[in-house]
Amino acid sequence: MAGFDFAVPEPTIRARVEEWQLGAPSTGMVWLGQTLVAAGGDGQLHFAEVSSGELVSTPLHKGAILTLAADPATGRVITGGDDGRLMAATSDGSTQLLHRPGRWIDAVAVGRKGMIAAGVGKEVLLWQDDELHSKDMPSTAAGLAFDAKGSTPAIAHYGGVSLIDAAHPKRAPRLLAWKGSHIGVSFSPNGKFVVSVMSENALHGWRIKDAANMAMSGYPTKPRSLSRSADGRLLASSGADGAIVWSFAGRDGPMGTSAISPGERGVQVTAIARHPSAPMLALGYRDGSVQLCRSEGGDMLPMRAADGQPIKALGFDPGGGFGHLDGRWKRQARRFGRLEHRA
Amino acid sequence: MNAPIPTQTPVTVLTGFLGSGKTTLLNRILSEQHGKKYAVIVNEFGEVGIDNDLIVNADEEIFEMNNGCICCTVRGDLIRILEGLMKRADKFDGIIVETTGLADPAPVAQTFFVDEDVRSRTKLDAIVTVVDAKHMLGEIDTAPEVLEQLAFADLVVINKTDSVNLEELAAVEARIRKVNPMAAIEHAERCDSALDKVLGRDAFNLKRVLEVEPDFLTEDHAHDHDEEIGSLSLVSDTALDERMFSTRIRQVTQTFGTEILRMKGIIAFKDDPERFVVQGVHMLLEGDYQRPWKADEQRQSRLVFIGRDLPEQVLRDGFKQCQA
Repeated sequence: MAGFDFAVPEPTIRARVEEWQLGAPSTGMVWLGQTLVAAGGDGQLHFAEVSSGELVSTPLHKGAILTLAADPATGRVITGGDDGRLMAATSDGSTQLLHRPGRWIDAVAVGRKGMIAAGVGKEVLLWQDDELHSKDMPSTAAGLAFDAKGSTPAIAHYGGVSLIDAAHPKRAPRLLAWKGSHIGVSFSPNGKFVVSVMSENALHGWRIKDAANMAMSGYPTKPRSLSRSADGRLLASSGADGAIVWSFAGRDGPMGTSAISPGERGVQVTAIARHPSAPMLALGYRDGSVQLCRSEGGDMLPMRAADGQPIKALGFDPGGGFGHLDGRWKRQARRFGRLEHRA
Repeated sequence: MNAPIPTQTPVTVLTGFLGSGKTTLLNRILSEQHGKKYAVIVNEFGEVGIDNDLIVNADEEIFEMNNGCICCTVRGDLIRILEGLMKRADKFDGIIVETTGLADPAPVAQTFFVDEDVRSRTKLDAIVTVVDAKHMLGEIDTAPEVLEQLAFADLVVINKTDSVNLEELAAVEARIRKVNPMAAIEHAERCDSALDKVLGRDAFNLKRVLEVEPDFLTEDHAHDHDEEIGSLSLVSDTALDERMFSTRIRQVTQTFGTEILRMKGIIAFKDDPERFVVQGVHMLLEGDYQRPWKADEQRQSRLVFIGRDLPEQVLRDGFKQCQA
């Protein structure tokens, strides 16, 4: 493809595709270093070793795994299931029951300082060094995220996002209010902005300093997948034809600017991931195709042909290799070979 | 390339007052040997699976979409729970949503019209309202929620019919008909209706919308002005103008979306060989061509509104103006 200057030529990239069958619909994916970890609708957690191609599958929950988060510091993956259990698992197959609230666990997140947060109905549970704190939200905690430092968990719920001071978990959370149902949340790497995914085809952002609002709307569907550039200046999102990329470069965030949309091809983007170091995006589409897209210019390199199975999740490992999960009907995880980007 | 259309799991909404027998019906669904697998979304239980089934606790969390319009309130907890259920490797034959006795069924129904994710994986099968034959008439006077639950129902199960005589039962049925001429009615003692009459009705399927109860629209029901919630049936033997109807029905539902609870109709457009069907919940409308008119079929347009203080004259005049 003209103008696309990858060091690895296209046929080589294709030749390095690896594929694992999971045996049940997948519900989520995270990278644990170079290990691709996929959760299954049958309660199994799968660790796919990229170097060896080995797949280790562990039966972990009795129902579906609803949510998962990587805890790289301890080499664990934390999972929540519809069996009301919060579990930790490692790639060698060892598992640990962390908590059993007996209600669906809708969200988990792990902070850089090792704090684990779990959303159980309206309750948010926070663990730090075996010390457990509980916070009640005004409605169900639908989404959780930590800031880059791991010192502030954010909780998405009806009416906005609550920020908790992890050092003083007993203090009342700070509410960033915006009417509507917020189902996901994410911080900018510099910790200045927080962005929520809403139930009504929009993102909403706040500048944390003064709670200034940023409404990011106009999506045809829910923009569920978010990914930031390494420097944090750009926020890419799914939910439309092509990636919708907002600039957070200025002190006002995307306020007063318009989004750009590279990767338009008449098909909705369902999953998105920015390369950890290079200026490019991986886009997964509703028709099952995956494209690599240069941030500038928007040149595209097809990575996977459309097969009608929507791409559900997509992610680069820290070294720039990448993996994705496709439609719930196809039941597989793939991993593409590592890509080098020529500077 | 088109994505394969996944099967949509049918969802039955079960409403009814405390003591109506709603819980008895739920327990039967969960305990009977029917060879099917159901997930039940309830308010009071813990999340414990009984044999093959799964019971999930809901909090009836309602939120208003974008503009805060009352007609676009949906159940956020339901969106989340249905999404979670769809993640499971083992699929359900059906999902049952129990609402509390005091709940307004509209946000539940609207969730299935408004949320794309819910629409793509599940479909609203029917709203089933259970009433107690002996106490329903008394409850209507004290609790307006009963009327709303009747107004939204596709099926009303009159339970405990053994506790009333035939005359009293006829009065109960007449009262239900006055509020909702569209709903099917089932009689039961101890909620012993056959489950296949309650589940899998497909009442919200536009293609079947009027085939379930073919006679429901045949006469112009008297509209009682003393009623807080009542119905209005409009019939026309003259074919309607498509553009005029489509404009008018939008205007009417936009303007009176709060008053209109449910609406269903079969429409004969001028010079059109196909039957058009339409249904709505508050402001939300859905319409499609159903099938060609049969040669021996009377090409009659019929439209029924169920609502609160319906603007009868406006609706009648609007309907008349649509005649081509």
